Amino acid sequence: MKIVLGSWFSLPRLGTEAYASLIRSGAKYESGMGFMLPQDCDLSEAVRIIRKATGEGVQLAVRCVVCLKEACVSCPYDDVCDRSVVSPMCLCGVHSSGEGAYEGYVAAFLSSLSE
Amino acid sequence: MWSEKYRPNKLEAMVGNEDAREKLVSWLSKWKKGKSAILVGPPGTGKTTTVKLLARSGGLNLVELNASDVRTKSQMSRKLGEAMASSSLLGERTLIFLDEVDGLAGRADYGAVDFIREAVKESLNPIVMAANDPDSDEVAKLSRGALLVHFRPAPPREVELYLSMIASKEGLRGPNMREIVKEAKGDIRYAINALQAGKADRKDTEPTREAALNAFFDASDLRGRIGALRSYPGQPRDKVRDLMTSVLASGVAGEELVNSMKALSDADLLLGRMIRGGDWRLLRYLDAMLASGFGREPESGMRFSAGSVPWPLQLRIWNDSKKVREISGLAGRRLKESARKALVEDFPFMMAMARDERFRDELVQSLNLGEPLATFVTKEAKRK
Repeated sequence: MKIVLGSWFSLPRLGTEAYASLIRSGAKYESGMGFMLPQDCDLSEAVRIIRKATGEGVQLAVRCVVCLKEACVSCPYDDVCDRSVVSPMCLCGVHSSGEGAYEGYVAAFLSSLSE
Repeated sequence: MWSEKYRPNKLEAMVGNEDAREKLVSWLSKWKKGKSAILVGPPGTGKTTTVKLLARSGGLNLVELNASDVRTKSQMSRKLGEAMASSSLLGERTLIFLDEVDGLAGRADYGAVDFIREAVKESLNPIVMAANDPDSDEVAKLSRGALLVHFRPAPPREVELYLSMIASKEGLRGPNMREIVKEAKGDIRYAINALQAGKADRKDTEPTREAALNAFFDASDLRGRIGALRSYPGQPRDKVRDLMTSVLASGVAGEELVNSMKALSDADLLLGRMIRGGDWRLLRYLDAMLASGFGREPESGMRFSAGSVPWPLQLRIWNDSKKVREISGLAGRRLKESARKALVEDFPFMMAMARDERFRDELVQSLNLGEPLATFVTKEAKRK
């Protein structure tokens, strides 16, 4: 199962205890939207709970600061990047390279500030 | 140095921790009396830089205090009183920054934590705190009612983005960025220094961490030990951590363990001072300090051991060793002997005897131990 940090995702019924533990770890739940693992969530604990409750492996991914799509697709640092440790947004392949990539990143951050 | 030249001068020029930076900007813009923010995360993740740039972007003066340098309520009150009380005559506001509030642990905390909590309630200016250890007692106490913001290492692609921007401005062509980024582990300052040093081009000729530290343990003289440490291919704090892990894994005991841990502890203090003050010239003394404290017994059997001790545990060992040294220092003074003698010869007996509640109370009273040290003694005494 792939979970993109900061994005809503759905889970099968977890049971009261697992649900409560997941919320205690900092995960959010909204009916109609599902679950979300926000920036201040205890990621390793949340992943452990989800893995135990669903019996599935959990793969974390982060979103692109510029386009908000998943950033981890074909990432050259896939083997060294621990997504439960690094800050929860990154850059996708399109927005991390080429001329003006840094300026694009700065502009995206500034626009998110003004929202 | 490129790390100075390309130090971000605006909040938006940084990379990594976007959510955290946004949260802080929003918090500051809506700040009300009685509210504080506490930034937690490992060293090198940009907490201090963020606060400095936050003050700049909000047009605020910054009053900065390293909490681990100021231990008592009265010292803190003297340093912060004016900044808490008002805005300047010209109406300029101030942002108060208390760095390393978890550094109050293991020291005689004579009311400093309580003072900070009161200060947050009373201050007419916003207070931001920073800590490395999210699980420390101080963070637990100070984060009640505060905005807790987690800082994490920047992901590798964002580090590469920053390096590419520098490489392009410096006219560098095709440096081996990936190797630098992988080795930097999210530490942008390290990555920039490595880029400037052309480190990636030299990677084939450099020894590994293992080879460098094994050469250090094998060296028979001071010069050899310093040379081996200089060839270590990682960051200074990784060097210290690798050494600590190797010492713990090697199972050395007695005076050799004490000497090694003391050298590591001194190195930690020096690193802390460098990071706090930005005085990287002190780095030149680190290897000599470690080399002279370590390795007096080349046949001790110490070998490199890769991080088998989890970082939270290492942090605990680090904090607890400070408490042990502090208690031993006080005991040594009381018993009119050296702190080292008190540590090696008396401390284990003191802890064994402290299982008796009456003795424990007497010990706490006679050494005048503050609350954190008294709690530590209670915990240690209960340990089998």
